[in-house]
Amino acid sequence: MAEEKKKRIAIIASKGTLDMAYPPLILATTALSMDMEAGIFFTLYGINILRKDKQESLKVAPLANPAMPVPVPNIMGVIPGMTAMATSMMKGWIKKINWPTIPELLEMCVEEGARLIACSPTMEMLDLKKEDLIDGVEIAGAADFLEFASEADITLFI
Amino acid sequence: MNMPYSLDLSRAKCPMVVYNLNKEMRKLSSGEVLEVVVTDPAAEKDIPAWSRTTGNEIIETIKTENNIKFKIRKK
Repeated sequence: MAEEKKKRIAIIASKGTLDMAYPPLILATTALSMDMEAGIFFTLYGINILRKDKQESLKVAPLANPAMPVPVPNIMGVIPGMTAMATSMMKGWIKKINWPTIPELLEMCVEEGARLIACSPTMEMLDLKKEDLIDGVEIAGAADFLEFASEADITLFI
Repeated sequence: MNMPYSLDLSRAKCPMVVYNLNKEMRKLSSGEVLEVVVTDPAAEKDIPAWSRTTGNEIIETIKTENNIKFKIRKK
Protein backbone atom coordinates (compact mmCIF):
# COMPACT_ATOMS: atom_id res chain seq x y z
CA MET A 1 0.00 0.00 0.00
CA ALA A 2 1.38 3.38 -0.94
CA GLU A 3 2.08 5.77 1.93
CA GLU A 4 -0.63 8.39 2.09
CA LYS A 5 0.63 11.88 1.33
CA LYS A 6 0.79 13.90 4.53
CA LYS A 7 -1.06 17.17 4.92
CA ARG A 8 1.15 20.19 5.17
CA ILE A 9 1.14 23.64 6.77
CA ALA A 10 3.44 26.45 5.66
CA ILE A 11 3.72 29.55 7.82
CA ILE A 12 5.56 32.84 7.47
CA ALA A 13 6.58 34.29 10.85
CA SER A 14 7.29 37.98 10.28
CA LYS A 15 7.03 39.44 13.77
CA GLY A 16 9.56 39.38 16.58
CA THR A 17 7.50 40.17 19.65
CA LEU A 18 6.72 37.71 22.43
CA ASP A 19 2.99 37.65 21.72
CA MET A 20 3.38 37.12 17.99
CA ALA A 21 5.99 34.38 18.41
CA TYR A 22 3.35 32.08 19.85
CA PRO A 23 0.85 31.56 16.99
CA PRO A 24 3.28 30.15 14.39
CA LEU A 25 4.93 27.82 16.92
CA ILE A 26 1.65 26.62 18.39
CA LEU A 27 0.20 25.88 14.97
CA ALA A 28 3.36 24.08 13.86
CA THR A 29 3.62 21.89 16.97
CA THR A 30 -0.07 21.04 16.77
CA ALA A 31 0.16 20.20 13.08
CA LEU A 32 3.12 17.91 13.75
CA SER A 33 1.11 16.20 16.49
CA MET A 34 -1.65 15.63 13.94
CA ASP A 35 0.69 13.80 11.57
CA MET A 36 1.06 16.81 9.30
CA GLU A 37 4.24 18.32 7.96
CA ALA A 38 5.05 21.84 9.13
CA GLY A 39 7.43 24.51 7.91
CA ILE A 40 7.97 28.04 9.19
CA PHE A 41 9.77 30.72 7.21
CA PHE A 42 11.21 33.29 9.64
CA THR A 43 11.68 36.63 7.98
CA LEU A 44 12.26 40.25 9.02
CA TYR A 45 11.85 40.64 12.78
CA GLY A 46 10.39 37.14 12.95
CA ILE A 47 13.97 35.90 12.79
CA ASN A 48 14.45 37.06 16.39
CA ILE A 49 12.43 34.03 17.45
CA LEU A 50 15.35 31.87 16.28
CA ARG A 51 18.17 33.96 17.76
CA LYS A 52 19.98 32.35 20.66
CA ASP A 53 20.49 35.78 22.23
CA LYS A 54 16.91 36.94 21.66
CA GLN A 55 14.54 33.99 21.98
CA GLU A 56 14.55 34.16 25.77
CA SER A 57 14.09 37.89 25.72
CA LEU A 58 11.35 38.57 23.18
CA LYS A 59 9.20 41.47 24.33
CA VAL A 60 5.67 42.82 24.13
CA ALA A 61 5.24 46.40 22.94
CA PRO A 62 2.84 48.44 25.07
CA LEU A 63 3.00 51.27 22.53
CA ALA A 64 0.14 51.32 20.00
CA ASN A 65 -1.19 48.12 21.55
CA PRO A 66 -4.74 48.90 22.64
CA ALA A 67 -5.49 45.19 23.06
CA MET A 68 -3.59 44.82 26.31
CA PRO A 69 -5.93 43.82 29.17
CA VAL A 70 -4.63 46.80 31.10
CA PRO A 71 -4.49 49.33 28.26
CA VAL A 72 -1.42 51.51 28.40
CA PRO A 73 -2.03 54.98 27.00
CA ASN A 74 0.44 55.61 24.17
CA ILE A 75 1.89 58.60 26.00
CA MET A 76 2.80 56.23 28.85
CA GLY A 77 4.01 53.50 26.51
CA VAL A 78 7.02 55.57 25.50
CA ILE A 79 8.30 55.85 29.07
CA PRO A 80 11.41 53.70 29.65
CA GLY A 81 10.53 50.50 31.47
CA MET A 82 7.02 50.20 30.08
CA THR A 83 8.02 47.53 27.54
CA ALA A 84 9.68 45.52 30.29
CA MET A 85 6.56 45.88 32.39
CA ALA A 86 4.23 44.74 29.62
CA THR A 87 6.56 41.83 28.89
CA SER A 88 6.76 40.62 32.47
CA MET A 89 2.97 40.92 32.69
CA MET A 90 2.56 38.67 29.68
CA LYS A 91 5.15 36.20 30.96
CA GLY A 92 3.11 36.04 34.17
CA TRP A 93 -0.05 35.14 32.24
CA ILE A 94 1.81 32.52 30.22
CA LYS A 95 3.01 30.91 33.42
CA LYS A 96 -0.43 31.10 34.98
CA ILE A 97 -2.05 29.15 32.15
CA ASN A 98 0.79 26.65 32.19
CA TRP A 99 1.89 27.39 28.63
CA PRO A 100 5.28 26.38 27.27
CA THR A 101 7.94 29.05 26.73
CA ILE A 102 9.13 30.02 23.24
CA PRO A 103 12.40 28.03 23.60
CA GLU A 104 10.37 25.00 24.70
CA LEU A 105 8.04 25.28 21.70
CA LEU A 106 11.02 25.61 19.37
CA GLU A 107 12.58 22.52 20.88
CA MET A 108 9.32 20.65 20.26
CA CYS A 109 9.30 21.85 16.63
CA VAL A 110 12.86 20.63 16.06
CA GLU A 111 12.24 17.33 17.83
CA GLU A 112 9.13 16.61 15.78
CA GLY A 113 10.80 17.51 12.53
CA ALA A 114 9.43 20.91 11.55
CA ARG A 115 11.32 22.78 8.88
CA LEU A 116 12.54 26.02 10.43
CA ILE A 117 13.75 28.22 7.63
CA ALA A 118 15.66 31.45 8.27
CA CYS A 119 15.42 34.08 5.53
CA SER A 120 18.93 34.74 4.23
CA PRO A 121 18.56 38.44 3.25
CA THR A 122 17.18 39.15 6.72
CA MET A 123 20.21 37.47 8.24
CA GLU A 124 22.54 39.62 6.19
CA MET A 125 20.55 42.74 7.03
CA LEU A 126 20.83 42.03 10.75
CA ASP A 127 24.39 40.75 10.43
CA LEU A 128 23.51 37.29 11.73
CA LYS A 129 25.50 34.11 11.27
CA LYS A 130 24.12 30.58 11.33
CA GLU A 131 25.76 30.14 14.76
CA ASP A 132 23.64 33.01 16.09
CA LEU A 133 20.52 30.92 15.51
CA ILE A 134 19.35 27.85 17.39
CA ASP A 135 20.33 24.41 16.09
CA GLY A 136 18.10 22.77 13.53
CA VAL A 137 17.52 25.87 11.42
CA GLU A 138 17.98 25.93 7.64
CA ILE A 139 18.94 29.06 5.76
CA ALA A 140 17.10 29.70 2.51
CA GLY A 141 15.18 32.25 0.51
CA ALA A 142 11.72 32.85 -0.89
CA ALA A 143 11.97 30.29 -3.69
CA ASP A 144 12.70 27.45 -1.30
CA PHE A 145 9.80 28.42 0.93
CA LEU A 146 7.45 28.81 -2.04
CA GLU A 147 8.33 25.38 -3.33
CA PHE A 148 7.48 23.94 0.10
CA ALA A 149 4.33 26.09 0.37
CA SER A 150 3.11 25.19 -3.12
CA GLU A 151 2.52 21.66 -1.83
CA ALA A 152 0.83 22.88 1.36
CA ASP A 153 -2.80 22.50 2.37
CA ILE A 154 -2.64 25.44 4.76
CA THR A 155 -0.59 28.61 4.31
CA LEU A 156 -0.48 31.47 6.78
CA PHE A 157 1.26 34.81 7.10
CA ILE A 158 1.73 35.84 10.72
CA MET B 1 -5.77 -8.54 32.92
CA ASN B 2 -4.92 -6.06 30.24
CA MET B 3 -4.66 -2.63 31.87
CA PRO B 4 -5.18 0.30 29.53
CA TYR B 5 -2.51 2.95 29.29
CA SER B 6 -3.52 6.15 31.05
CA LEU B 7 -2.44 9.76 30.74
CA ASP B 8 -3.49 12.64 32.97
CA LEU B 9 -3.48 15.93 31.09
CA SER B 10 -5.34 17.95 33.69
CA ARG B 11 -4.11 21.57 33.60
CA ALA B 12 -2.50 21.07 30.18
CA LYS B 13 -3.70 23.57 27.57
CA CYS B 14 -3.65 23.75 23.81
CA PRO B 15 -1.20 22.93 22.20
CA MET B 16 0.20 20.69 24.96
CA VAL B 17 -2.90 18.49 25.17
CA VAL B 18 -2.67 17.20 21.62
CA TYR B 19 1.14 17.27 21.65
CA ASN B 20 1.46 15.13 24.78
CA LEU B 21 -1.38 12.85 23.75
CA ASN B 22 0.26 12.17 20.41
CA LYS B 23 3.62 11.55 22.04
CA GLU B 24 2.10 9.07 24.51
CA MET B 25 0.20 7.32 21.73
CA ARG B 26 3.49 6.39 20.07
CA LYS B 27 4.25 4.07 22.99
CA LEU B 28 1.21 1.93 22.17
CA SER B 29 0.93 -0.83 19.61
CA SER B 30 -1.86 -0.90 17.09
CA GLY B 31 -5.18 -1.81 18.73
CA GLU B 32 -4.10 -0.88 22.27
CA VAL B 33 -6.19 1.62 24.22
CA LEU B 34 -5.10 4.81 26.00
CA GLU B 35 -7.26 6.52 28.57
CA VAL B 36 -6.66 10.28 28.76
CA VAL B 37 -8.10 12.83 31.19
CA VAL B 38 -8.30 16.50 30.18
CA THR B 39 -9.60 19.70 31.74
CA ASP B 40 -8.98 22.21 28.95
CA PRO B 41 -12.43 23.04 27.47
CA ALA B 42 -10.85 23.19 24.00
CA ALA B 43 -9.95 19.51 24.25
CA GLU B 44 -13.58 18.53 23.81
CA LYS B 45 -13.23 19.54 20.16
CA ASP B 46 -9.47 19.28 19.74
CA ILE B 47 -9.12 15.61 20.67
CA PRO B 48 -11.87 14.45 18.28
CA ALA B 49 -10.24 16.60 15.54
CA TRP B 50 -6.87 15.01 16.31
CA SER B 51 -8.54 11.59 16.28
CA ARG B 52 -10.11 12.14 12.84
CA THR B 53 -6.86 13.46 11.39
CA THR B 54 -4.58 10.77 12.76
CA GLY B 55 -7.02 7.86 12.48
CA ASN B 56 -6.76 6.88 16.15
CA GLU B 57 -10.33 6.06 17.16
CA ILE B 58 -12.15 7.46 20.19
CA ILE B 59 -14.10 4.54 21.60
CA GLU B 60 -15.52 6.24 24.67
CA THR B 61 -16.04 9.80 25.94
CA ILE B 62 -17.09 10.46 29.52
CA LYS B 63 -17.77 14.07 30.39
CA THR B 64 -18.11 15.06 34.02
CA GLU B 65 -18.38 18.44 35.69
CA ASN B 66 -14.62 18.68 36.19
CA ASN B 67 -13.04 16.86 33.29
CA ILE B 68 -13.44 14.76 30.18
CA LYS B 69 -12.12 11.24 29.83
CA PHE B 70 -11.44 9.79 26.39
CA LYS B 71 -10.60 6.20 25.58
CA ILE B 72 -8.66 6.06 22.35
CA ARG B 73 -7.71 3.02 20.33
CA LYS B 74 -4.45 3.24 18.45
CA LYS B 75 -4.69 2.89 14.67
